[in-house]
Amino acid sequence: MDDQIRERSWLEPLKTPPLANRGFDGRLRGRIMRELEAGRMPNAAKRRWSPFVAMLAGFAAVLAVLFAKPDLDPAEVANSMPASPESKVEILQAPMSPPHEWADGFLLGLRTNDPTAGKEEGGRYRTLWIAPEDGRLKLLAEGSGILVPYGMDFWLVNEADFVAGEKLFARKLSSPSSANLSQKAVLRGSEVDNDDRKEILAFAGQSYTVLYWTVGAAKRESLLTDLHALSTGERNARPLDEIAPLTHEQAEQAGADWLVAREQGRWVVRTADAAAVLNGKAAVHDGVCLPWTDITGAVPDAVDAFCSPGENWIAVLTGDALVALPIGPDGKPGEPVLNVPLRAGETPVLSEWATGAYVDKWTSFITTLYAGDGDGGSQDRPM
Amino acid sequence: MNFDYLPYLGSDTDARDVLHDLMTAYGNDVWNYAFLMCKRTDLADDITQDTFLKAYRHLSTFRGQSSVKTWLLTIARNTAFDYRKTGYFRRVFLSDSIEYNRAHPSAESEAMELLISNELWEQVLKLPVKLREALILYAHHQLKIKEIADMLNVSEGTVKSRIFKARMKLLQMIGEREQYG
Repeated sequence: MDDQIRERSWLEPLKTPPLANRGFDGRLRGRIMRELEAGRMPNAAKRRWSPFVAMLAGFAAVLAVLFAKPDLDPAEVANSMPASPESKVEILQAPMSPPHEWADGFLLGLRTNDPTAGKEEGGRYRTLWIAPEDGRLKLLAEGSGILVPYGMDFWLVNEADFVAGEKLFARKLSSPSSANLSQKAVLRGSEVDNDDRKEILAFAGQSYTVLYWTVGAAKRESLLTDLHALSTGERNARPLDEIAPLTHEQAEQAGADWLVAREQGRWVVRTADAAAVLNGKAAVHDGVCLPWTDITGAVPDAVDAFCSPGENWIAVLTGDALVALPIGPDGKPGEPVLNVPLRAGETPVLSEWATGAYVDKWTSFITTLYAGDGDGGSQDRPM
Repeated sequence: MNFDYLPYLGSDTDARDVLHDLMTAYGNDVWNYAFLMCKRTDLADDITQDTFLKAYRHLSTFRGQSSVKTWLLTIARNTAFDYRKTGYFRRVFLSDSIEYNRAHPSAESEAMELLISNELWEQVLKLPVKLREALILYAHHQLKIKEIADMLNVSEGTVKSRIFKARMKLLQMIGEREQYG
């Protein structure tokens, strides 16, 4: 056996790299350096727990189940319900001892792929604002359209009915008055007005927006543009390498044939021959802070997850609900405290977190804005 | 590139420069190892990224007890196993076939193919992971049997046995391929 192992000539072909056209390249080197600059931790192995700690945590969980006294106040539950009558949000949390420090607020933009279902419920797009209030995590506001925080402002992206087909429109909201939602788009004669392509929003983050264009029956193109372009009715293309660590050549080669997707709890751009995590210019506070096994241990049918920047709670998406769970001091997810049903085929198009003083500021703005949107928000579609 | 200085890093050393050099010297080794373990280019990117970020954060712990290359490959191996524990990894790793990218933007993109260097690699990628790992560390990364044993935390005899079995299985696969086309 030793002789056969020592005889290496048959192994010569394995000295070459396994793939002729892929390997470690400048794109990956750049991506690593950007991750380093952003101060990100490695993904998969961020938390490891010894069996002893895990056993203690398990024991504590058993004790918690045995001695916990659910103390739901029906009136409080009712008060915390969002304005939308269709919502069947379940607040599952009992008071936690010691009280959990929820801290961060989560803004989630969703798009349903079933336009018919969406229209019945006030549009294809909606935004959820989930944040702490009175020591508990609640769905504080829900309304139609995608609310995009950018700089010190909020923008609203929603469908607009132009002369030729379904298009998107963005408006910077000068105040949280719900009257802003019903302002009409005046874009007659603009670039999009004369274009028969249908467009849907695939992603919004910071000032960037990704649109998918449908031309005819099936062909689809992707376009990276920005809020300003959506607000003026123009469609200026931005280079893809602005939001992802791709080389300029890769971005040019991708053309309009790429997509944005959620993978492993992160926003990812996929071209025909490359995949890259969105950078901090487009996706802030992105990435999962728990091992996926912990997430599926807590929510077995989890398909996606969003970690709060302070790692104090996590929003987990299943096929039909958003489930919120605290993250304990031991770094483990606790019991679900909130369950927000999702509509059929809803997928995330925006995920933004507020921290510190911005949580209250966002709560104030968003709850005021959506206060009158309880009928499903049909009035906020600019006509 | 010489990394003899690594165990003696001073506070005035810019760790980013070291990382840069490590990537230049061993980027391909780490990426190829990750790809050969997981058989997916996107995951190989992720594992490589995490490997170098971990190495950067633990530069001060490198004591020179192994070669820098073995140290990095060991980090890559641990990282790959961490990924393997995740549901995402299990979904894509339990397949024996090579999965390049599942979510192509369009049907036209399906034509895109990664080029496997030669036929032997094609067969190596079909080996069970334990045999594959021992063989690639020996044949591709040119590690010594003892280095592989230390890295895999098994005896030298086990490493030899795995390489031997890998060779036998490869011969069998190539023979079958020639016989049946």
